Amino acid sequence: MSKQSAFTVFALVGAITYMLAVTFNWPAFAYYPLLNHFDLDRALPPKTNGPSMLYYGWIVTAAAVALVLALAVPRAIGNKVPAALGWIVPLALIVYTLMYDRHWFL
Amino acid sequence: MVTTLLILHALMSVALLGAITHQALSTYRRPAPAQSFAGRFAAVAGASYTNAIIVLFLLTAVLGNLVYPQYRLDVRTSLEDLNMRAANGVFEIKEHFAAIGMFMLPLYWLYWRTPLKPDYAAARRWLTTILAFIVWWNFLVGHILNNIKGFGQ
Repeated sequence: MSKQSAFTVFALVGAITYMLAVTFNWPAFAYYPLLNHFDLDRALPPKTNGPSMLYYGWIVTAAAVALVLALAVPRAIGNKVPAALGWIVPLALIVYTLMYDRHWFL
Repeated sequence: MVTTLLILHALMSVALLGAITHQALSTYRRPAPAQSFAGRFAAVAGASYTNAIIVLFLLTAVLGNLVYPQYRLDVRTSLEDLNMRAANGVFEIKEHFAAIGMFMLPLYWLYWRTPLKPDYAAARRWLTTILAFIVWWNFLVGHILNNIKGFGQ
């Protein structure tokens, strides 16, 4: 594992996995701010729990996957990732985010 | 307490906005003496901003995450009651942009590591531009939402 390989894999996998976690609803946990309570159970909670927040859970899901792959991917592969993906991937994710959230504006 | 954290969040974002704008514009500058205001604004040693930008980005994100539960309970529910869907939508985009930006920071650091590698010049410029866009979007959205319904009302 080299710094270049690990950083590259962590960044790209983390950003992509985050949007996958959002799209397919893969939070590691839910947080209920009204109760100040973290819950691993993603079943529909009672309304008395107040609104749930999945944002922290999505980030943890993405960070965990990115960390594992950053450590697991061999340096020879990680170092071969083209530098252009460093801006193409986030640009694509920004466009995807705007499309994914367009329903708010319709 | 939440109001204090929100003000700190805003102050950090102002510093971040200035730093990343300087750095992003520096990647487009041609090596000639700066004459105009814009030219002088871009005439900075971009690499010297990198660590500060990473620290400011993370601090701003952490502070934003600390005030987020209060936002979810007080502000978002009010926006939903007022049927202000676009306001909720731009905030949803803001949170996703912040996460994408955070994950890109290791690669951003790699591209700006000195001595600067010419192989990374294009990636450095575009990734910095994308991060600057994210910071500007998040700053403006946060500002607008705070104007719609600030904390402590």
